[in-house]
Amino acid sequence: MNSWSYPRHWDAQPVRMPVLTQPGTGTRLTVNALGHATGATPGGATFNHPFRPALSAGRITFQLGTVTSLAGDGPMEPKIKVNGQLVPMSGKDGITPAALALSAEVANSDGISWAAMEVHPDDKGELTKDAKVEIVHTATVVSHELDLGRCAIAMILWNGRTPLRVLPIVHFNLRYVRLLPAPGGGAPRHLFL
Amino acid sequence: MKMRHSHFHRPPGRLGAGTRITSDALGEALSTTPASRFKHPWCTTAKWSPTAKRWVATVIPGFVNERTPIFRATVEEQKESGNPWENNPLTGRPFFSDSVFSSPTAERTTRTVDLPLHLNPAIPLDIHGIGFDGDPSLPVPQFFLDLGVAKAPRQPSPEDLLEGLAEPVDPTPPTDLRLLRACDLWLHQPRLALTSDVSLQPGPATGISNVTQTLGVRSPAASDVLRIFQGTFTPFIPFSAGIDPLAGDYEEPTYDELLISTVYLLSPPNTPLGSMPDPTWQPYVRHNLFWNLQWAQPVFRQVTEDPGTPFIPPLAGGAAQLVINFLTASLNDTTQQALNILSAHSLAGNFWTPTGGGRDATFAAPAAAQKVKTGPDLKANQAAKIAASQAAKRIAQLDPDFPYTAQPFPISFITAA
Repeated sequence: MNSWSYPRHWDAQPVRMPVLTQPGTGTRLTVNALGHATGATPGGATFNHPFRPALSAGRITFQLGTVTSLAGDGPMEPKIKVNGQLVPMSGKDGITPAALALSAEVANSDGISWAAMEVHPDDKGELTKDAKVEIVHTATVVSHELDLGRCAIAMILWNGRTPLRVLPIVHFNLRYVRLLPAPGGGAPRHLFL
Repeated sequence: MKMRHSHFHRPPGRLGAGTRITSDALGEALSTTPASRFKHPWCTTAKWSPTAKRWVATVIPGFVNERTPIFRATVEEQKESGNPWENNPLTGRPFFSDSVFSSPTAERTTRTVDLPLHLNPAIPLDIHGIGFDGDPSLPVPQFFLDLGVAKAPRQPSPEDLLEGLAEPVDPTPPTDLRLLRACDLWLHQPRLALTSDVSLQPGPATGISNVTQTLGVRSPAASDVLRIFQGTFTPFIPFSAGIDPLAGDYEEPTYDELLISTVYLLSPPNTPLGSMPDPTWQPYVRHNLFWNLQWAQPVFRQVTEDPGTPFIPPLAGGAAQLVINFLTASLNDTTQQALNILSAHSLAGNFWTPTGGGRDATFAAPAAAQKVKTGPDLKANQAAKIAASQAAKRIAQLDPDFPYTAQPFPISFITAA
């Protein structure tokens, strides 16, 4: 006769003592006179930020983000070309986001491409309500043209012809300003602040 | 009376969201899958590398404009750092499977590789001591003082001791003293730099000197790229005391730098002074950057407020050059004038976070709280209390709470345009 008060797996005859559920990964077991409790440390909240990208099946969808012109109109929702047609990034119905199609030909020799927002300011450098604001897939994210500004939204890493991973670059809604070159030359600068 | 466990007569539990149950000979185990937690860009993690026998850090990729910085290391260092190098996601092949990695040992120890942050390189940390057995000039955060770290004792000067103005400080370590080590990680952005050459020609009789200041632009080295450094960060302060623009050619650095984070290593209590960190030390990180950055530098051009008559001479090799003539009556005026011109033409770049507006979520106490004259202003006083509470919390913790802080946009870019 031994003094064990709890069941052992080599005991010959079955016992009817209850066996507590053990704490596994990420859980802890607390036992006291009132019974037992299984607890877990809550994970931190995710940040569902504007322009948050999600890669799936060679396409990227984004959380809704906006751009506002410094002294012009806004906020404006960028559009994405889907089947040759510009669609608001939040989708036609505002529920199903429009997906940006990715092409392996766009990636550079390092296996990197970008999703970039293109803005087309007017003569005064401001975005009006009719200005074209579009998210495109490109390997060129800098523009020195007078009427075209670009801002990288996300970086896409490729393995051959397969997009592997997307990294967010922008976490907030954007504000746009164009700076014209000073006398003596230079190129216009498109800043997002 | 013996209490029975509450689950004796309870129906079997059901699995809730995010939980799973596994069974084996020992019984059942309940596990959870923690929700993925948002980690901000530049989030730094320190860990002990058993293979390299030193502390290393990894950094969540952050961006400057559209690029992540690289960490430059030798092949041998990276192999020793114990990063779990398996397959490179960009090539599908194992890391270090390239022919360069099978080169002779001598070459492996000297040849460098540029590893972008999105490949998660392990950054070996060169630590420096702060606190009781460290550099007394380096401040110790309150967070660590609360955990048992002590400031370095400062011995009074021999003169003060001799005159009885101060008592000698006891160098004996306090009981349960914990030691502190630190290593900074910072961002290095190469850029064009301003150069200046001043020539002074005294006037013949009037006492007024004719000063010619020639400004130029210097390029960074071709091998210099956006990268991360580790060690002890010393920020460059432009036009700080000691710079004499008349003494010789003045040159700005060909880079902008910004602190990313500081890794602290905290020893167990009563560790011998001068010890090097081992796996028993506890890592902490204080961040300076939390969000991706944009970077730009001013355009090299004439500033309209400049004195004299500037002109742009014919350029050689495309290098920009600006010659400014001005007249002054004293050497002090000349120095100040030259410094003003340097400051106005500086090519120092700026980092900022594109937040759309605002850079800090800190609750600011309204100025009215200090100016209440007639009766209590409850709202202002309440705001002041919140601000004071937040300020006290900021001192006691290493990082600010979400949404952290951001780098401000340089308004000068717009006003100077």
